[in-house]
Amino acid sequence: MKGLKGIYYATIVTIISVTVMTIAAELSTRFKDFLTNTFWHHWIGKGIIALVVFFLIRFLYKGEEKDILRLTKSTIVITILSGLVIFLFYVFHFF
Amino acid sequence: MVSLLIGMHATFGEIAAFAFLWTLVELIEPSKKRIDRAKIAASIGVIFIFLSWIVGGYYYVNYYKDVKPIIKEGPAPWAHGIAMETKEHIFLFLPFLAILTNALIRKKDLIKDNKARKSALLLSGLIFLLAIAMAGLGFMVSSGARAALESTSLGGLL
Repeated sequence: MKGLKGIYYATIVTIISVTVMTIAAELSTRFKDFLTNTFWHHWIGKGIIALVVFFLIRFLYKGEEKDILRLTKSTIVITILSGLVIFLFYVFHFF
Repeated sequence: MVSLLIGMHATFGEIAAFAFLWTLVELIEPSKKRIDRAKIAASIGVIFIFLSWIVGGYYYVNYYKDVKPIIKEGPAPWAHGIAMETKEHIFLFLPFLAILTNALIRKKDLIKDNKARKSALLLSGLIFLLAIAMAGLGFMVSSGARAALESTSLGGLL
């Protein structure tokens, strides 16, 4: 079945992109201003970039997966780690 | 209007969360009928996650800017600094995980392919837990705003 590997890769790269953009926007005023000036609001900018990254990888990469469970576990681990990175970043940022 | 938007955002998010819980339940011991129902449930989940994103986003960019300073000046500034900041960004994972799970359920034969079935179970469970976590964080943000308003009105009375 073709296409699923592309969706997995698109999901993983998108989640990492959201995490990187989130932290970059907090650490770099220039990046946050770029998002705000380009997309009206920095959060809208992150969402639009995430959608573009997802669909770009989804349609460009059409590989066939060999071990779907392994890909799933990688996706879950990356999601949990990315969530933790965002949460801990804001905890340290706040205190 | 504002509380209607928050209510719609939360309701759509909860419907999406429970749609993926429904998906998970249907896939525990799959049959053709259960797979068909799982496809419906996962589609409902995707639609409502996007609706929650749109409504929540509309509220966030148009109205939350007035609530944010109130929370920050109140007794629980972490409700914005940690809870809201975490929520608004981790939420962005959910639409993509939902699309992935929906595609997996539609493209694989989940009766014959046990690895694909387990994958769909794990992803549905992850989406459900993340969506419930979003609801919890949303409750913290609302509590932070309420605490700030109460402290202001009590301050005015004293």
